Amino acid sequence: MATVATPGLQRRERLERIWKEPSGLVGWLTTTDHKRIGILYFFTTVIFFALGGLEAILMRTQLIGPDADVLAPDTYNQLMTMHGVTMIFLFVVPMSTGAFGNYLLPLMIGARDMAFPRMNALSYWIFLASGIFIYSSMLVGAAPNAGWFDYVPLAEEQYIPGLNIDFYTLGLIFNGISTTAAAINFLTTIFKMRAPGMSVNRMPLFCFAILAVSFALLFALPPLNTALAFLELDRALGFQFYEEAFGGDPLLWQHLFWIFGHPEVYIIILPAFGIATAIIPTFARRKMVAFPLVALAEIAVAFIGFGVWAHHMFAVGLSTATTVYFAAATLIVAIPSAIQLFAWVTTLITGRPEFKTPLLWIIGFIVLFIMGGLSGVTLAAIPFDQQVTDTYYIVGHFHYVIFGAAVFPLLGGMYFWFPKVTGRMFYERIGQLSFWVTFIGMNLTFFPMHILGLVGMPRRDYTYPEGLGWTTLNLIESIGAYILTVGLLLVAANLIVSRFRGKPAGDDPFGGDTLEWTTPSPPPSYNFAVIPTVRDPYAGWDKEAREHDLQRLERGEGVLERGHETPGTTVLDANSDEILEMPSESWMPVLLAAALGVVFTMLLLRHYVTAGVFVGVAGLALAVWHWKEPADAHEPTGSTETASAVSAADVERRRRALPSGWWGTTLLIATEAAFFGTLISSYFYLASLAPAWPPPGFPKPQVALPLALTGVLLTTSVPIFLAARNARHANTRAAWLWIALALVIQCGYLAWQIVLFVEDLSTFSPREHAYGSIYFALLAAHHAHVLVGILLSGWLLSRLPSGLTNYRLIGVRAVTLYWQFVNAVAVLVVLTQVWPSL
Amino acid sequence: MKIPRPPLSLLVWFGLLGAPLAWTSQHLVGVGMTLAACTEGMARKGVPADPWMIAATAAGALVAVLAGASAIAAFRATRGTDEPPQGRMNFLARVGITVTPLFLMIILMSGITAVLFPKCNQS
Repeated sequence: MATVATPGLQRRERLERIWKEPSGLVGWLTTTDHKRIGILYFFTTVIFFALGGLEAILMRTQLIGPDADVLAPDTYNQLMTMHGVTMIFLFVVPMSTGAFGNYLLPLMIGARDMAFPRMNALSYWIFLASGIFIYSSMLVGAAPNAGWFDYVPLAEEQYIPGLNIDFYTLGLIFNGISTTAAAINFLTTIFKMRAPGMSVNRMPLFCFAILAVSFALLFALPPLNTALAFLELDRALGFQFYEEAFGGDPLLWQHLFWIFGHPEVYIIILPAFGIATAIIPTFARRKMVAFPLVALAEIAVAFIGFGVWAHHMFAVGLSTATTVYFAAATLIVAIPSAIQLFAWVTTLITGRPEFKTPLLWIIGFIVLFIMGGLSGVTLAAIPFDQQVTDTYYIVGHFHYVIFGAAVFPLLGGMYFWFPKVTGRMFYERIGQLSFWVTFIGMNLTFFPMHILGLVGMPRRDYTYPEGLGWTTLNLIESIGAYILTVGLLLVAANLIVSRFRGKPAGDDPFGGDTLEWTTPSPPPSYNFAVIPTVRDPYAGWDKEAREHDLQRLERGEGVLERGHETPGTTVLDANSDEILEMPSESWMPVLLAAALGVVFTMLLLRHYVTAGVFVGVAGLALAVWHWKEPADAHEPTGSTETASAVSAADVERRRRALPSGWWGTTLLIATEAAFFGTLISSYFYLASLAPAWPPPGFPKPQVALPLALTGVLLTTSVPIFLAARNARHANTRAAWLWIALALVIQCGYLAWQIVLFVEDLSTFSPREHAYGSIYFALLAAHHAHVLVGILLSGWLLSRLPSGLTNYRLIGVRAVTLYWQFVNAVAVLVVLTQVWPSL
Repeated sequence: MKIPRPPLSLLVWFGLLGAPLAWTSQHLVGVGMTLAACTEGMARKGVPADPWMIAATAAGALVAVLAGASAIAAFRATRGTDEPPQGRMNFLARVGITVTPLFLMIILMSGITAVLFPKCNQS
């Protein structure tokens, strides 16, 4: 029977032609489609999960009985460290945000892509390159071996002299670039790309979870990166950040690491909470109980998570007065978690639950999360924590949290969205079997660890002697690990076979409540033929609105078929703001990631000049990337809407709209502020420990010249402001001149500062004392920051003579904002620098 | 004289963010002071920890209480519809009402207890 080519069908075909990417390997290498990038993340993280699992199995085999010699001690240390690093940095976080977040978030908010599609691709390629970088350590027999939290002084050069720890420090900084870029992208997407009508109170709960996680990443990664940079400087260049004999402090590492490390726990489990809140209403056939409270709980957990870091350090000798601050926050953070728990359970009890495979995993998650959460609350009791620190109790606790509360929902999510991604159904009975086998294996593996910890078995030991009463429980754990592996293999087998032989799923096999279920399975490259309008957080269940969408498609309203178009909306109320022309596929992300891979490899090998050359190559790739500009954004009109239909208020609103580029820059500034905040805090932390600051023999810092130079730098705020104002009024030449003036002053400032820096280096060294280490690190970071600002201004100068496009206007706004931030940081840095002389 | 009422959006945002930011400040001051109180550098400067901790706790608690009141006022002023912007403001006000007691509890629990302990004793 011939298909009637309705206007709606014709529009779908046109959109398919517009959004279709090349097929084959080239298509995958150059893709900017969030769904394909999500799939790339998925398969990459699954491979890392398999590697991390293999490491775990080898360790459990070593520990199956006393005095076993399956693994040598150093091999065990390497496997143990790589297992932790892999599962946290290369599996759970990239799986939950990179795979699930990327694939689902734009679909759930009714967008056609992420806010920055090419940056999204870059995040993936950097993630892949960092994973290969870290795992290449195993090929050269020098994998990280000081545990996943890599405590100093053990991790210092004199105790572990090979490349092991350098792979860790540089690999995680490399990985952090990917994660930071992804977080900025998620936040901007949530802020700017929600479908019209999806105000904050109508956003799906999964999106709240991604919002919370992205904010947490933005502020948690800078302390980790700072700690890693300090360690690498200690190891490679002989700095003294963590050397107590030279004014450093090993506890500085612990503070910085756990300021990252505990939020990281919530970064790991919050997307899983989001998955649970997506699955439960669907299978309970009712809306989530206490929707606003669940949303707030997701944010509150991430926020309070920043104030509990020292509960990982209760045994290091902090004063009780310090630790109570963390104990209080640790106790209270359980409340928002409990709010979610009660909401999930109440939704299930008051609904009509269908116990299909995805829901089983979520119920398993709830049970395991309660157990992991309760054992976590016990650790808020300082005396108890001190007793069980560094025992298997802790290992048991965090595996209930990470495996039970994060991996179980991920597995449930894989089943839940499998039909959407592949268009096929999985085998239900094998799905249920895989759940039960995994659940039993998980509990057999990790529950006995609590008992072993309480009877004193320390963690990280590669073996144990006979006669301590640990043998039987260790045997049970190892058998449990093998059962757990069987369960996971069943999941994999089910999904692989179903991909090829499963029944067709249809668009919405489970009656899902969010917008992705209103698209075909798998979703087309353009996601939505017509941009949906939203009146409810459960937009998928709003049948009237979805019926209306179909009518709009036939009429050609809100189709956006003139190019790679998607709507931009306002942050809070998602009013239509502008129509954005999105970039299409590009080679630049993969090339840029490759260049950065060479940079980090050269840093590892301590070939700093070659690393510098490849930084230049990366910069060049970035410049080429931004040379080809997307078409201008324009007013929100559909095919049947005419320009005259746009009111003056609409035009004015668009002029005042904060574009994605502005939001991206603001979020970059936020994470940089956290970085400089960490550096300056580290400075004062080290200063507070020293009997004299600067130490005897070091000159007091100059005051007048640094302050005067900073004053000169601050004057650049005026020409930069005037440049932005002229650009807004389309006065390109004046804008160019003001930027050029600012650039001259900025270059003069930087040149003079470099002269002072070199003079200081000839007077005292960063290798003699922690004072010198932090002094030069702080100034070098600031100078690099100024240089970035100068390069951005230079880029604008080179582009403006050929006219002022919307893209360049956004560039002017972004650079203006960034430069004012550089100036603010300059003030803080100079005040810190001269403080000892005041 | 009639006191002018603050704009609704200000009430909403203060109600939402007031208590979390108050706790952040109190936490940083408290932790910073208790860490520094036992170091040589701080002893050299002779800065006492307790007054700072008490001031931070009192100020934090006061801001949190005011934020809670703002959130309640915003909630009452925006009841009755789900439509943005009023519905969105009501949503954020409800969130503010719920988070404020949590942060107030942390401020009081940590601030009061920390002052009671000798500064440089380890448990």
